[in-house]
Amino acid sequence: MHKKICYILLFIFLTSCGESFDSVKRGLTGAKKNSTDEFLVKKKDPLILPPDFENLPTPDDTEITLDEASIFENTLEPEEEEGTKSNSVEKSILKKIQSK
Amino acid sequence: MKKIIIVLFIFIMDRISKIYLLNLEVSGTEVDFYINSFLNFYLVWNSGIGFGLIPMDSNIYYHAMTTIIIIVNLALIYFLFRSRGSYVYLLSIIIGGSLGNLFDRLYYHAVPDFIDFHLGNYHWFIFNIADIFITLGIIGLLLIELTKKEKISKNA
Repeated sequence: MHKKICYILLFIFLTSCGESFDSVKRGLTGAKKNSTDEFLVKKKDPLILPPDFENLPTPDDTEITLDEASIFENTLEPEEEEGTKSNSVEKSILKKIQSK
Repeated sequence: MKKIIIVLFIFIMDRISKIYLLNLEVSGTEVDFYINSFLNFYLVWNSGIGFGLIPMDSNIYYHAMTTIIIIVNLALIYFLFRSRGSYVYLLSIIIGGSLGNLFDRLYYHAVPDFIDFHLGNYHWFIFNIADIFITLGIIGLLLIELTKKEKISKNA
């Protein structure tokens, strides 16, 4: 009897089966290790820089200076023209009134 | 001489299997292979003893356990040179496997296990080649004990 116990102890000490107590739980529950990409078939490619990344222009190279004043003037020009026309009509009417 | 050959044969077989799988792991291949419906290869590291008992994160306990295992191995080698008959083969098998696990214990500070035997969803403990031989040797020794008792009872 003593020998049998010795053999069993020998077996437990010398073998290395099992990973941890988790394996006992895994064995009892039958749950396989959780995998985050369970349905992933194709391996994810690592993130790499595009081949012509060095040749791409940087934002500093193309300085697009927007002349806000000129844009403002451009947008106002037609109105001004109309404005000048109306002014001239007004002036002519006023002249006519003054002449009377 | 045959004792040494058996021990070396099992030790080398165990080492080859472990080195092969560890090289796969190092090269970036995850060791999680489906072999057939009841066998997978899945690499895990066991810092404890059999059946995942006493997993040792602490260095002191780990070294203490390793020292005990070294003493057990030395005792087995002593018995091997004193034994005769079938005991020689059984002890050689056990020592071959045991030295394989002891080597990993000293070199990697844990033993790699990878044979995941399962029936349906019920998984047995993950083991390695060395464990197979140790188990066979222990079963042999237990059978000898059982048959001895039967003989004694018959003679009486």
